[in-house]
Amino acid sequence: MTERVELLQGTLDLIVLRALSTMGPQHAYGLASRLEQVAEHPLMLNQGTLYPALVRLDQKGWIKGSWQRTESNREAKYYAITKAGTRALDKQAERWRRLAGLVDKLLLNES
Amino acid sequence: MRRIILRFLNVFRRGIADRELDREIAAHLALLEDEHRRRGLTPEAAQLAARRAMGSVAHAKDLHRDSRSFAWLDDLLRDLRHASRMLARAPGFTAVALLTLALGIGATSAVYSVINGVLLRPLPYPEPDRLVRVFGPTPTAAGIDGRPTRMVDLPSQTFERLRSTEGAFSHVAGYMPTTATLTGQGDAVRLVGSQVSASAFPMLGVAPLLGRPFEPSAQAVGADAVIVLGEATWRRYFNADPAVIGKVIDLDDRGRAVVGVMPAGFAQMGMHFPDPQAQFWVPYVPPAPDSRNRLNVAVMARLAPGVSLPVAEGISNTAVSDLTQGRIELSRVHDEIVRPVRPALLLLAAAVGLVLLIACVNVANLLLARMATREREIAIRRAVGASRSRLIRQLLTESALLSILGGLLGTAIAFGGVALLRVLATSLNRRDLARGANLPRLDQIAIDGSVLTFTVGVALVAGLLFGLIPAIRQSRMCDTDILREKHVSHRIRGTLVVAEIAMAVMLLVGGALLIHSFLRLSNVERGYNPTNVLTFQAAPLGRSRAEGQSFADRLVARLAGVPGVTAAGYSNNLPLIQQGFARDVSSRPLSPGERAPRPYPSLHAVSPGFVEAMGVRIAQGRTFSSGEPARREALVSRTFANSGFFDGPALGRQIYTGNTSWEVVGIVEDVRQFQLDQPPGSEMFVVDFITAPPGFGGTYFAVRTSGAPMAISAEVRSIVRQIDPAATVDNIATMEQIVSNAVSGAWLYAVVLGAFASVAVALAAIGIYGVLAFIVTHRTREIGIRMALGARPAAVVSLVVRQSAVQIVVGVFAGLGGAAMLSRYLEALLFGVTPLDTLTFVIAGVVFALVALAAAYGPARRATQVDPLVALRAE
Repeated sequence: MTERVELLQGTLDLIVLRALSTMGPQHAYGLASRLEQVAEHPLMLNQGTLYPALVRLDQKGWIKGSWQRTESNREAKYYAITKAGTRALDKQAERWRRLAGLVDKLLLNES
Repeated sequence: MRRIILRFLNVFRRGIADRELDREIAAHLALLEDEHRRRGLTPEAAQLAARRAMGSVAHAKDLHRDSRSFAWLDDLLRDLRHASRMLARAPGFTAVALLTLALGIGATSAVYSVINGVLLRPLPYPEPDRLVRVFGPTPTAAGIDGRPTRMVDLPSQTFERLRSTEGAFSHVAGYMPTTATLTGQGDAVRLVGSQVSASAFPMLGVAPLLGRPFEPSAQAVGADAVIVLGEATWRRYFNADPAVIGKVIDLDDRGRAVVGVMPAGFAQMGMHFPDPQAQFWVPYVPPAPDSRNRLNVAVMARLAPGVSLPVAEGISNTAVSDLTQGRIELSRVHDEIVRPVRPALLLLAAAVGLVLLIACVNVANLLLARMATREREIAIRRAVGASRSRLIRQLLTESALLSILGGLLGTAIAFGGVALLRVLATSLNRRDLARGANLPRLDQIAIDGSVLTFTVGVALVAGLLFGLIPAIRQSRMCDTDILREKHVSHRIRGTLVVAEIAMAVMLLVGGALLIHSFLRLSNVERGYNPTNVLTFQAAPLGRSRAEGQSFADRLVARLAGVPGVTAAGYSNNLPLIQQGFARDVSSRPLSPGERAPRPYPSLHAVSPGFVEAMGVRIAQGRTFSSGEPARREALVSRTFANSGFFDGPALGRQIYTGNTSWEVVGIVEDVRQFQLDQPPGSEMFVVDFITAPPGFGGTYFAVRTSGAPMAISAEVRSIVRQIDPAATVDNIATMEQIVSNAVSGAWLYAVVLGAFASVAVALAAIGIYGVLAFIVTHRTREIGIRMALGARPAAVVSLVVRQSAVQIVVGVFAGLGGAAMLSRYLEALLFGVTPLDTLTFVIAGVVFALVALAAAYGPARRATQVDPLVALRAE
């Protein structure tokens, strides 16, 4: 039994932005598969929980959705990162690295 | 920010967003299924696996909804939709609840608009709190009518001293009422105005509409031929012509140059300067310091910056200590303006608060009754997982919707109420009459932004008030045994009804006391017959005594010849005119240097025809004889005759003054000169000619007619013009109008409180009816069994009525008790009735009990018509 990783508040948004920035436009299923692949935990999240993050990012104007056809000729809503989203990703990533570094340092000192 | 707007918008686009999400999730599932099938699962297994990977779709949708919009707002909209459906489904309930609330909220808003306009809104001058009135010392001797009075004016020397005193005031201004005849602008017309110090204008700090106010240099004999007009006067007599500035106009046959026009809102001071009736302002010219002319002047001042009222009062008293005995007093102008109506307005506020409370209780009661019919709905909501707070929120939304709709209707009612009040609170608006129902600053009363804000606040508070108890009760409903709940609910409703009855009875007692007092005041012994008497003031242009008397005599002679006129006369004043002429008289000739005893009687200088024209009733003796002997005769009032002045019977005695004397030939019934609600004073009538002082302008005439007195008013005008084309006629009114003006204040309070009491009683009756109707409905089965077992209709009626009889009795007695404790606050408004008047209390209690029984009778009758078979089959 693999241990389930709880996502920290706000990290899902960052992860989605990052995935869209490296992989180009994706639909929600594609994003979910990508996350599972990276995390190597198939049940890390219910794929439905992606939707609140998508709508949040959409409303902030960081991603934009449009209906397209998949390779298997199914219709799906593809999300692409916007310019504002790219800028936000840089800023958020920087913040995350600083925060993570700080937490790491604290954890090292404590142990 | 962008996100907040989007979320807000999404609240209203739920349908679109939900469809979009459904489509997206369906696509997502399809892709998942494809994937699983590719891995070799059967279509069914693939579908299952896809759903498992997806998690709960409903949960995802919920999360999505929370993220894309505001959940609470979404809930609120849904609750509102639900609430409007529920209200629409019960039109009877909704109509009664809305009407109840609208009455409560509307009355409250109307009363608030009055209090706001009269009491709360500051006067329209810069720093109005620093404007003060200066009152003269209370004389140790009593006033004319035997009561001590605060002097509204100061001797001119005292005023001049205050004006030159440093430190207390930044401005000190004197003013005196005056009148003048304007000629040369159409028909001659008498205008009322004030003589004022030049400093009055900078003191108030209001810029003129045109021109400028006059300078202090105009306050001297020879330099004072200037005038400032009011806006309305300028419009009416000078066609709003800007070129009026600099023009010389004829006032009392004397040219005065117009220097300025003051704007419309300038005069708002009630009886004080600048009073709304003033049409012009001319310079006040102080008498020369060595003059023996003793002139009194009313004084207003503006406190110097940083000086408090008591400090200014101290400085003033030190400054004038050698001129006056006793202390002069300062009082804020605003306090003086509202003083006469403040207690009445506070009473109205309290009364309307009770009406609002009753309305809330009533609606709470109706809601509780409706609860019973909604038990199932609430139980289902609980069962499918609605939390308690969510349920309360939903029920409160219903109350809030009710109160908002009620508030809207109430605003309409408030508009109507204020319009009605403007009509009721406008009586004869004359300087020479008591205020009557005239509210000060009546033109300031309006439904404005602050009143609307207040209305919204009241509506929301009311919604909480009447909604909270039912909501909390209802949300608890399913936790316990429904049957027991019902029992408890009856008790709550019973308590509410008792409270409602008690409050309604209190208002009823208050209203009844005021109505009783109004009736007493209207029927007070007046001593004359006001029916079919026309009164007016007329004055020739010339102001000399000889000119005045010859004018008056000719006018009376002409009037006596008019068809339909049975008597005509003139006098220096009429009953209820607010001016007194006292005369220092004695019952024996005085030796030189001896003073006549105080208080002096009030003197009516009349023509012989006046006694008959006014219908003054002779109690003993006779009226004046005709011709020259009448000049040696006097009539005295009953109070004067019995005052001890004559030591012995008055008839046939002599009254001495100076070196003349009058013989008392008749005793007349008391005439209440100043106010109907004051005990009559000593009055005497002699045949003489004294015209009213310039401030009041003109001799008073009384004409008794056989038909409607107003019908001859045109004829009166034309006769006056024939005698003297420059003479003026003013204040045409029937004596009945003057009498009803004197009772109009009492009438206003009686009507308003009576209306509130009626609403309260009606609401309480609805409350009683509602509770009983509910009980009858729920006991249909029991009543059916009783009737099947042979209960007679009378027994059924008594069974039902007994239910509320206890509530009614307890409520009525609690209300009477409350009224007994509170009615002393009414004392200042009552005449001839004590606050604990037993008759009024008994009548109020009995009237209410009858109304309550009538309300209870309907449901009781319905109970007797229960068909036992139908009743038993129903369940």
